[in-house]
Amino acid sequence: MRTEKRLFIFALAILTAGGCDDSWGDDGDDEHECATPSRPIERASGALSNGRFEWICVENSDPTCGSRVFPLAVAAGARFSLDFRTSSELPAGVGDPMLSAVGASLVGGDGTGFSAPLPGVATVVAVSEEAAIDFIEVEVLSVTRLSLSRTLPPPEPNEWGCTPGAPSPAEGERADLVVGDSFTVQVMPYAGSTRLGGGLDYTWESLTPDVLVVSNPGGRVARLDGLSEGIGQLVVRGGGHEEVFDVRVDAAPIPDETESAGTDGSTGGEDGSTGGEGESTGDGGTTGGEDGTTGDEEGTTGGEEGTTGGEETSGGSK
Amino acid sequence: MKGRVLILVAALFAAACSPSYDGLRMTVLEGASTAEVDSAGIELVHGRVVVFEARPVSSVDKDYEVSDTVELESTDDGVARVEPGVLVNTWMMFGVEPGDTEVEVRINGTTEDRIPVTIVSASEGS
Repeated sequence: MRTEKRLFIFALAILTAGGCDDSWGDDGDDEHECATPSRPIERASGALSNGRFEWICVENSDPTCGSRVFPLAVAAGARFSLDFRTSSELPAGVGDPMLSAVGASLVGGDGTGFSAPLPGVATVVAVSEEAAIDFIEVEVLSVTRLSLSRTLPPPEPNEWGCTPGAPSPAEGERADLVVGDSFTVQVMPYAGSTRLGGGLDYTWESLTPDVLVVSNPGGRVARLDGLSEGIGQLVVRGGGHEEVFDVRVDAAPIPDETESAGTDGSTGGEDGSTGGEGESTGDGGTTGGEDGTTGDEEGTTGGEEGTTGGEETSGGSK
Repeated sequence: MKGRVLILVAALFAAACSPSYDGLRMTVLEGASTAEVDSAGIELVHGRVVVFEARPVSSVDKDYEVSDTVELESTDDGVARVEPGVLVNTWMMFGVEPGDTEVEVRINGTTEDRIPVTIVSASEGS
């Protein structure tokens, strides 16, 4: 297998990376929706427009959790559930539908949820005792890429519960880790450029535990702690795919003593070098704690898209 | 003798007033674009669904009425399953497993036809 490493650099600011996620569409149900590009509505509606299929995330490793959207495709090996709401325009006599999967790429149905063992196209049908009401095709794709993005503290939601664009690193800015600092990241599975839905099992491992420590409270979120200066290597595995990410851990920044020390001049600069390290460690610990708290929240809530931001980066496939 | 003639005439008259099955007119409405649906045979990819309208065709001047009951039933639900749709004369067929089966066509309770069905694997159908 080929191993390719890329620096874990947050390069571009994505204004839409905040409260309303950019790639998952919405099906236009709510009166006040976050302004996002929507995926075609017929993907959530049944093919016959006799009702609507609703995606239900069953575990917090599913990136659709909290996003109220129907993914374009499902990751092979993923787990999810669906619900179906019959159109009110249909006669009452059509009965209550049960959902079931047709095809080898998808198994399961009502009550048990669905799992997607194989890549391919499968169909979920809504059938009552009286009639076949509707169906939806589900594309199951193998994970070909994992992407990491740094999670940021959630911005305040507006009156409709939509969060505006979250603060992101400015263009060209590197958001590398600093010794003594920490932040949380979340992984997103892709097939090419298509984001994949469904819950997957992820494992996280630091290949350089002396430089970088990774802890995964669950789901697709992990906390990174910088221990010492250097290039830390992080392995993320999920959906039968694994990627290696390099995370640069920089030395703690040295505070400008000329500003804080007032008129101390050149002597203050030397003092600042020593004092700066001590202060940075302390600051880093404080910052790390805050980020860690955010990360824990992300994990608990299933990594709601609305609370995340930052840039995504791809690692090297293995 | 006269009575027998009258009965024969009545029978002929009744036959002339009843439709005579001459196949199904099938039209795909939705579903797998690769599906082939025809009264001569149906081919569908495993894991896919096709929705079609099926109306019986009469070989005589008398056409089938809405009140005539049309039923389609797969002889092997493990290969292909067919269920009535929400709209009149519409049907949904599922490609359950690769293989061959038949759809039995019953009109007013009488089996009139058997349509061969082939469910092909996804690799064959793509």
